Amino acid sequence: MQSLRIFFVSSAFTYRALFHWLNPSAYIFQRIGFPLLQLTFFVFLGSFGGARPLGFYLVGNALLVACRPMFSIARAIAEEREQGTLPYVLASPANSVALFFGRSAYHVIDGLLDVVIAFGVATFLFGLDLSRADWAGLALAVVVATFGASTIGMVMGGAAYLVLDATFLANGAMFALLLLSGANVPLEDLPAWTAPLYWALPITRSVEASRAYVAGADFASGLPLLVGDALIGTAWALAGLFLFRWIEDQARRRGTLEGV
Amino acid sequence: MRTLRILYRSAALHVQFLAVNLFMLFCIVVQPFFIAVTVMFMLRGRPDFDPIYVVVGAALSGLWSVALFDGNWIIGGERWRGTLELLVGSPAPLMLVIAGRLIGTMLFSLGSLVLSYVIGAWLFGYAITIADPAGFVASLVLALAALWATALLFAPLGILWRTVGQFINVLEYPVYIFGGFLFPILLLPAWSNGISYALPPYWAAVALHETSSGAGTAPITAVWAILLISTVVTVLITRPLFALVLRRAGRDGTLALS
Repeated sequence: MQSLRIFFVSSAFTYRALFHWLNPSAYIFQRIGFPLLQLTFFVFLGSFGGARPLGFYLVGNALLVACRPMFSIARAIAEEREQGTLPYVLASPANSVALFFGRSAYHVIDGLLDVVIAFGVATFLFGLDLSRADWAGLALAVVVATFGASTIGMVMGGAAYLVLDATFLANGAMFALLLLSGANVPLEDLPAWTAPLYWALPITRSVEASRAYVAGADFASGLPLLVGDALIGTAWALAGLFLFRWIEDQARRRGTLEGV
Repeated sequence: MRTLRILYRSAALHVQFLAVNLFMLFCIVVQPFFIAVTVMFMLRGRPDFDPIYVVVGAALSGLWSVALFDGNWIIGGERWRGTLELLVGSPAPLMLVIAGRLIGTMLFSLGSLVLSYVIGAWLFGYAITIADPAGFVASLVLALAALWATALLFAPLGILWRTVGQFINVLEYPVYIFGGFLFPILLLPAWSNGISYALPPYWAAVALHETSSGAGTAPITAVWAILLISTVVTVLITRPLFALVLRRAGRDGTLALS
């Protein structure tokens, strides 16, 4: 019960603090405006390239909007350090697992909302045809993709202990996803040696599944892809937790929490 | 002479800051790398594909991102370190110091152009040639000046509102889109063309694309004139803006607080 309380309290405070909620307009610009503008840019670019139909880019980039929480989660630890509160958080008796995963909970919900808005923009502004879509499958793909992106954020958050700049890491991951997830470049067009990289991302299969669901595939046909991403995402989350604990332990031993 | 010394010292110091700033290095190295590679894959199927178009477009994305973020953050950074009051109180005019630092920023950001070229030429193996090298150099100088002036315009806004950065940062992709960096603005709705024409980065893209690929219809001297005029006008607008916001912050005692 104690851990559950820490999970929710940590999640709520991380979320509110990160966006300085006193100013909701900044939140709207950052969280909703930025990903939609990114979607618009890559959709126009794809349309100019003409290699695939417009729907290919619309669905892929709408789903990539799910990656936005990655930044927030990765930034959470960096902000604690910048504000000088990291040693207090780590020295508290709170369960660090609950603390660690709690940091992502609200952002995942927030990310889901962003993707719904992105699909709305793709439909009403760019004319994405969802008339044949399998809604249950598409909804599940959005949930899995958001979860997957959040788990990358967890790894980045852990790595932020070492690298000191979580924004650098999260931005790097974002651009890697734009290239390797299949959202913009068909996987078969990428060099063969990149296959282990894109299959190791917890969002690549969700992109593929969501395109199938939008085209009218039945729920069961995309399920193996989504299960695959959920498993890979879980592996990323565990890796993030392991990294978080290992680096925390090293930082405690060396007394380098504030600077590494 | 004093002005030049301030500009030079500020630029040299700022380059040293940038060289160890991971986020700015991201904008100059990592972002143009991924944009160049992604766009190469997305556009190379076009029958009229010209790799120099992607090289220039990706480099422009790096130049713009650095100008935008650094112009926006340059005041915030001073405030964050607690040195803004010292800077404002020093005998050197604040605008001159910021202008010098942003010169350093623009010179440093040229790395994105070199990187984009390397990706196109070495990673993808394209034979990349510049159609009009002398014209390209002139376009590059004028484009850098226009982007520098735009970044300078953003700087005093950081004194007015601490949160302004969160709004200005969102301008990254709109300028990629309306600036025609990597696709022609003809793809956009006709009503939006006026926005493009009002943006100095659009004219920077026109000048660099025309002189690098040899394509395009706009007379290059007219484009250069627009870039020059936009730079001068932006600086002329920025000067009283600096004075205004400093006067306001001084009167209200909010220089470090806004």
